[in-house]
This record gives sequence, C-alpha cells and structure tokens, in this order.
Amino acid sequence: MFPAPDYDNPTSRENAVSATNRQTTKKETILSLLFLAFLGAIFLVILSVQSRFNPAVENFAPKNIGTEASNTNEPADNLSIPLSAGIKTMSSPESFTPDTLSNKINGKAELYLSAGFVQLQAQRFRPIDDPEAWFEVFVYDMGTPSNAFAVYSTQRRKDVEKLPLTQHAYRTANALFFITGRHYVEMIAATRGEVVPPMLIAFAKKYLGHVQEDGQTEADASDPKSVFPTEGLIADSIALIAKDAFGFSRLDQVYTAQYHGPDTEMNLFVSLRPSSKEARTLAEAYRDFLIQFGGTEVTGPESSPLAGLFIIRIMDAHELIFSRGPYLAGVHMADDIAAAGKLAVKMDRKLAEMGIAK
Amino acid sequence: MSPAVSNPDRRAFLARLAKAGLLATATGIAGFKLYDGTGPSPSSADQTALTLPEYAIDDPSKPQRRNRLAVVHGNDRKQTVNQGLKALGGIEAFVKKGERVLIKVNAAFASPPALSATTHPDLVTELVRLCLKAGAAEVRVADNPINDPATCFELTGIGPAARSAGARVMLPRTASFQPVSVSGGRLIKNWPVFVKPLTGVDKVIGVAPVKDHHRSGASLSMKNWYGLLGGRRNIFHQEIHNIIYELALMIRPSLVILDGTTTMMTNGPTGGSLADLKQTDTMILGTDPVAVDTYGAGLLEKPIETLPHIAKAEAAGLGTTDLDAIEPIISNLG
Repeated sequence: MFPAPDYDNPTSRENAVSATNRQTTKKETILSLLFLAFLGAIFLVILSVQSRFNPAVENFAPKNIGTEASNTNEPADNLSIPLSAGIKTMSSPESFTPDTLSNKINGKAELYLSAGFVQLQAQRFRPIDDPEAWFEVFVYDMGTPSNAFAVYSTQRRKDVEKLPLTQHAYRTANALFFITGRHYVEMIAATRGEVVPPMLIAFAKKYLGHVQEDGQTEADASDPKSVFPTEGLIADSIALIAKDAFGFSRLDQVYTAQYHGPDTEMNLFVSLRPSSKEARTLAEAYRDFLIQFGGTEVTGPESSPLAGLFIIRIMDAHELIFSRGPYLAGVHMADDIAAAGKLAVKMDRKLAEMGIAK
Repeated sequence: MSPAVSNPDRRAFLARLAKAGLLATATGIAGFKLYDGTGPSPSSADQTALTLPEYAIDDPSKPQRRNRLAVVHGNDRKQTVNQGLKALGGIEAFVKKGERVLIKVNAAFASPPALSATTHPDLVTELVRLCLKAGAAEVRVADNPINDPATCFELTGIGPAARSAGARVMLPRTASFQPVSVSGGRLIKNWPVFVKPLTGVDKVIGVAPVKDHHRSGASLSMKNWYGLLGGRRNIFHQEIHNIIYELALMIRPSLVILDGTTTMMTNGPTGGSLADLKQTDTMILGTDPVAVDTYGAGLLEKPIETLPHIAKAEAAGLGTTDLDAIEPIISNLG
C-alpha cells in the first residue's frame, strides 16, 4: 500500500505532485493503444454494416430523392456542346450510369440496359428569347454502333421526316433522333412550332461537328440489314432487337423487317450466329421454346416450302423458323401461312445469292 | 493497518469504487436480460411498419355496386372531368366540408405537359378548384418523381397549377418517408413510402395519364401509386406486375381519374415525341381502380391479358374487369 501523503511535509507534497505528473509506463501505453485499436475495430465493423444498409431505407438520404448532380457514380462529362447563337443552357448536365439510368427514364431503362448501355448524358437548353421552347438533349453512349442502332430502331416513330444529318436520323413535330457512332441522341422540345425544327437541327449540327472533332466518326451499324430481300420491304422498318427477342432469352441480335403481305404486314427476322451448327441448334431451341409454351408443330404439305423449315402454330398465328449457314431466319407471328412461306423462301434465296451455303 | 486505510479520502474512493462496481454489474445483468440473440423476426418488423388507412368510399368487391365508373368523351379536360364527376354524384360525393384531400398526381418526369408523360396541369387546376369548392379544408398535391422533384413539378406545370388553384404542393423530403407494409404483400414489407402527404388526409384522389410502359405494358391508375414508393424502388422493375398489384393493395383511394384525352401509345413511360401520342379524347373516373384500368387498357389497344397486374388486382377483390356488370356511365361531349 502507498503511504498517505503528508501535505504538511514539503517533501511528501513534492513526491505526490511528481507521482501525478509521472511519465506513463510502456505497459500503459501499449494497453491504451490496444483499447484504441479495439474501438477502431468496432468503428470499422459499424461502417461495414452500414455500407450494406437495407435498400428499403437506403434512399432516405435527400441526395437520392433526386438532385441533378447526384445521379451519377462517376464524374459527369459536361456535354460541352458549343451552343448555337440564341441558345443558352437551362440546367446543369446530368450523367447516368447503368446503375442510375432508371433515375432518369424509369421503366424504359431496361430497353437500353439490355442493349449494352454505357452512359447517358442529358442537359436542358432553351432559346434566349423564348423560354417556353426549351428542349432536352439525351446522349446515350451504347458502347457500339450496333447497340445504338438497336435502341434507335426499336423506338423509331412512324410517319416521320428523314434527315440527312447522319445515316440514321429523323425528326417529328417536336423532336429529333439520330445515331452517331456508338451514340444514340434524342433532342426533345417542350413545344411544337415553326421555330422548333430549325432550332433542333442547328443544335444537332453543332453537336455532330463537335463529336467529329473529338475523333468519333459515324459507323454503319446496319450492315446485317443488307441480307433482307428488297421486294416488298417497308421502308425504314428494319430494327435490331438486342436481347430476348420474341421472349426467348437465347435469341439475341435479331434484325427484323416489315414486309407488305397480301392482307397484312409480315415480320421477317434474321440473326447471324457464330457458326452454321449454332444457327441450326438455336433454330431448334426456338422451335422447342414455342412448343413448350403451347405451340404445335405444323406438318404436312404446307410445312414444306423450304427444306428444314419449322412451322409452329401458336396463338392463332404461325412462326416460321429456318437456318442457312450461320444465319437463323424466319417469319414472326404470320397470319397468312402461305404468304409467310413465300417470304421465307425469298429470304433463303437471298442468302444463297450471297454465297451462304445451306 | 496502514495509515492510508484510516484516511477519509481513501474511504470515499473505495465507496465510490463499490458503487461503480454495483452499477456496472447491474448494467451487465440488465443487458444480459434484455439481449435478443435472434433479432427481430419479419412478423415483428411488420408490426412496427405502418399500414395505410382506407380511403375508399365504397367496397369495390361488391359486384352489384353501380356508379363505379364514368367515361366521358371530349377533348376539354375541364369539361370532361366535371361531367364525369357529375355522373358519379358530384364532387360532394367524394369530398365533404372540412376534409383534407390528397391529389396524387403523376409528376414522374421533368417533361413538358405536351408530351403527356405526366398529369396534365389543367386537370390539376380543375380538381383542386372543385375540392375547395366542395369545402375541403386543405388540398394537397404530391408525388415522389423519378427525376428531381422540384424540377419535375415546375416543368410539368403541375406545381404552378396546383399552387395557383390554392393547393399545397408537397415535395418529398428525407423525413417524408416511413416504412410501410402491405398485409399479404411480399414486396412492400417495411418499405419506405411517401407517407407525409397522406398524414391527416380524409380522401385520396389518384390522377394519372394513360401511357404505354416498356416494362409493365401500361401505366394506368394503379401504376400511379408507384410514385409513393421511396428507396431503391427500381429493383421492383423485375417484378413490375406484382409491385403494381401490391400498390393497389397498399392504398385504396377514394377516387381515381385516368386521363385519356391524349394517350401515349408507344415508347412509354417517357415518350418524348408527339408522334408517340394519340388523341383519344376520353376521361375515365371511378371508385373501382380495376375497372378504370380495364377501360384505360382499351385506349392503349392492349388486351388485359397482357397486363397481369389487372387480373391479380381483380382476384384480390379490388375491383372488376367485367365492365358490363358495373354498367359504366358513358357520355359524349362531342
């Protein structure tokens, strides 16, 4: 036991003071560090748990309720479009990744994600002298020109005016849509009117000049289109389904085209597969898929306009499927089986003319 | 005995040490007794989450109930909504004097009214006016948009329209959400819901445009409640029909209004081009959301078999797809 300090004794008082001011021992320092390390470990565990927070409450933070700058996981590239005379920016640029795309376009995000979406940049602009005629520019980086064509073609509006801006470009009363390189671009105005089309076209030209300066050039995304027979083909009807074509998960990169039929339009499709064997295997798998979902295979005279052709009757329509070389092709949901058979034969002949062996 | 033992300071120190020891021991025992090694179970979590109250004014599960659906053809929203309400007994059948009313709009996108991706501001103005005229103590207009809320409410015109008509616009804030569970639901369990605008209201009116939807096939009155969800709600896109069905279970509105004056036929839910739109000149009002959406699907030219959430809602007793059975009141304003 320590003796009690005698505060009347100067020597004892000095000893007591020196005891309270003494240097900590090495043992005490190590113990303190161990305690601090333990507390630090608890802090790290809490951080780790918090980082895997219940998604139900994750977005309680105001930043996720939707501020423009918060929708990106990466630093946003400003669109940096040189503005036409009389145009000014109306909002900050927004940037969206695959994880955040639905924060901008909600239910349509899947269309882009399934086609290889990389990034969206969007920004609103307006004429200086007409605030009501504001417009928003969406630049979707789809990774490849083919992917850009997929989202462009599957959303293409009817009865539009084609534009010579790029190989694939058109406008409607209030909007302008085109592909440049791997980018699909939408320019959507809040109003219609005489000033809108020239305003959007001028803006698009500025944009195109800008991206070409950046070294991007337009590539022809639609080479596989050339396999479609031209007779009966409805103009601007060729589209690319990037994934899950006709509800079949194994069917991707399928080009479709509309054809005039005797009574109704017909939908011809073609997909280039890695090999002849794969094309045939996929044709069989697609046939089996349709049968699994209630289809019945049609046999007999009407099923033989083409060797190796599968005809499946499903939901009061017919699906015709065949392969030639590495191409899987067919007619989708045809009402008129005879007309569809002729169209399939026409497609097969076109492939043969291209030197594709059976 | 050493001199230190008799020292009063040391005695005091030992007394304090004993007290601290007792306190630490008591705390340890209490902690041990209160420790829940298994954690909360899903059922007990449900009990802590809210369940939204009933706002419906009648029981849609009764097939004999009539005056559940009014359809008005015309291109003037103010006229068609008035005519539709008149057919259902007038706004007074839904809003009583002194009541608080929530008008749940679709303000999902920062999109101009011309694109019909959101509730039209003219419809908001007229509904707010009618509710206030009926004696409503307060009319709230709210949504939790996909894009930035303030921008959405301004650019859609809904915010200015609501405010100028005398409504209170409620934007989502952090504290506006509370966990909600749906009885019998699988997806909406302890999920954050934009509860603040519902707090204290007596009646809820859903007002939505008729739209194509890439994921669900259609965006109609039941899909409109998606705008009450918070959190990472986009994960529900993988189960879009189930979430719409559970939303219909979650909230039973007093009235739903489906604006098919202009219908977004393609490229929904955002659209973007006037070429996506079709003038269908139809306003649909009803207390039966299933019947309302069944009629709306017709405007989109989509068989209801392609919209499974409608059949699910019907099976759950939320309404009927048999429009003949409820005898819709159809009028034409030319």
